Amino acid sequence: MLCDICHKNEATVHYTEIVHNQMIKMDLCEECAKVKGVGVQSPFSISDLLSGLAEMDTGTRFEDPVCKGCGLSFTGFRKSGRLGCPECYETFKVPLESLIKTIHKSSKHAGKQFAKTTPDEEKHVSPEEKLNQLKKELHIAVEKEEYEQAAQLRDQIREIEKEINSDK
Amino acid sequence: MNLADLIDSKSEWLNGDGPNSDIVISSRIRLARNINGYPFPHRGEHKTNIEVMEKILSAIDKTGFFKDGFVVKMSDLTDLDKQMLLEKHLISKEHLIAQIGSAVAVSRKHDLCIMINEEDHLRIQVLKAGFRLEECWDLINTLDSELEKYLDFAYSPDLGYLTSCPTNVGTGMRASVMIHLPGLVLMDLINKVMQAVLKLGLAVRGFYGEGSEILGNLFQVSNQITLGKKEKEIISGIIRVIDLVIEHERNSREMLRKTGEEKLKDRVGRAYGILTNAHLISTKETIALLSALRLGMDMNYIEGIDKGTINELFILTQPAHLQLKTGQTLDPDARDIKRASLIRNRLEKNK
Repeated sequence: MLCDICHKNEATVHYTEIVHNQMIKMDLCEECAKVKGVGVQSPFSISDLLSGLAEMDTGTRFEDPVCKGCGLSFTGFRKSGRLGCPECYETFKVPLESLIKTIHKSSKHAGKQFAKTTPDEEKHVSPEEKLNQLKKELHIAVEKEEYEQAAQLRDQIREIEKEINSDK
Repeated sequence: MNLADLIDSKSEWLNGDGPNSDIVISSRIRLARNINGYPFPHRGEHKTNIEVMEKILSAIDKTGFFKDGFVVKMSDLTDLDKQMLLEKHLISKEHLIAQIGSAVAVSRKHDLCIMINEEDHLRIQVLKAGFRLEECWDLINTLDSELEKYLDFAYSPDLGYLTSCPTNVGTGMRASVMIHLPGLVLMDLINKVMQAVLKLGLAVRGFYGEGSEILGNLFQVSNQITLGKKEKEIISGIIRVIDLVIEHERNSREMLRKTGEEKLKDRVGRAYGILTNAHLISTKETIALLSALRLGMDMNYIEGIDKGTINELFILTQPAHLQLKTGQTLDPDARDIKRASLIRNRLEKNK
């Protein structure tokens, strides 16, 4: 089978692409595949999506913001289709907003929330909240008949109750 | 577990079990996560990427999910080893060319896998046999919550989990199923069905994911959108569409049975004949024939072969697996000989 692009070399890379809802099958030689960027790059062409942004350039002069976190410029992002660091989302907030809306038809996260509890944050938990939490855990432990754990929890609860009372 | 163990150990997701396993080979979910305060891998220096990798490896160790698994830095693997991991669906094409500071962790049953410093700092994956996306979600959600205890993920309340490419931002989740649709292909209905799937906002890819060819009537269908919906909503959206696809595939198989059963049996029988008797066979021919054989088994024309064996052959007959198994690099002709003998052996044992 010969390459669909150069029609010279043997086709070794076989590729199916979906363009405008049409499935296109291609058989390419390694060289042409490389030129086309098939193989390693995603077929979900970010450049297509970014072309929507090009409209922003016309009319108003577009300032090229640079991310403080990683030094990436917005032009740099448009070339590679990849952001440089988490901070880029803040730096490029305005131009990214329309891109993200185009891709996802939404701009607000609705999924899982990152519930990080670092030791620092744990300190902010009030004794009352902690007490409630422990009582819940105690209930579960009793339910599961894990009496050893339940006893430990009971001791912890007593201690916190003492603390709360002494503060008053 | 070392590399040799990994090649030989069975991937649980290929065992042919699970709901609707006559059509749905496997279900997969992956999550993209990044660590706050570090550049994404493609923009990180070697030093920072190594630092990120070490942090993640230590967190992975603490979770205990990868006990007795396989954890390795990509720089410690040969090209052939990496190719083997790709063939097993444990790493991506992009991870083949991963730089210093990247790694991969695989659980003992191959059902959990984390790529470190691929496009994002973490790409967490769960793979299960059959149509079991909800179970995949429960497992990956637990693993992710465990990792959260040790890692400060880049997250914004508005945009969710922040990813290197804005196409993944939000949930960072891609859920997909690998479906075997020979009936729709033979009835020439596959394009119609796939157009509909695309219109419903899902993506269709080949056996090896992004940019791979559609081989052996195997299709991967996944969500495109990652922002604005809950993970479970995205998953139930896919399930609804796949349920319809399964129904159409079943109808097509029934139509084939009614209208041209001898033709179909002939196709299956010939495939079985070649697979059990050939002495030279290419990857491409193997996959096409295995697909026909699977159809024959699913339609009860051929009995006594274990589905898991056929699923495994799809992977074991790939070039890197053949070469690592023999312990030497083989040119394509030599591989065709080895491949044919492996298939004869496996099918013989199964009788």
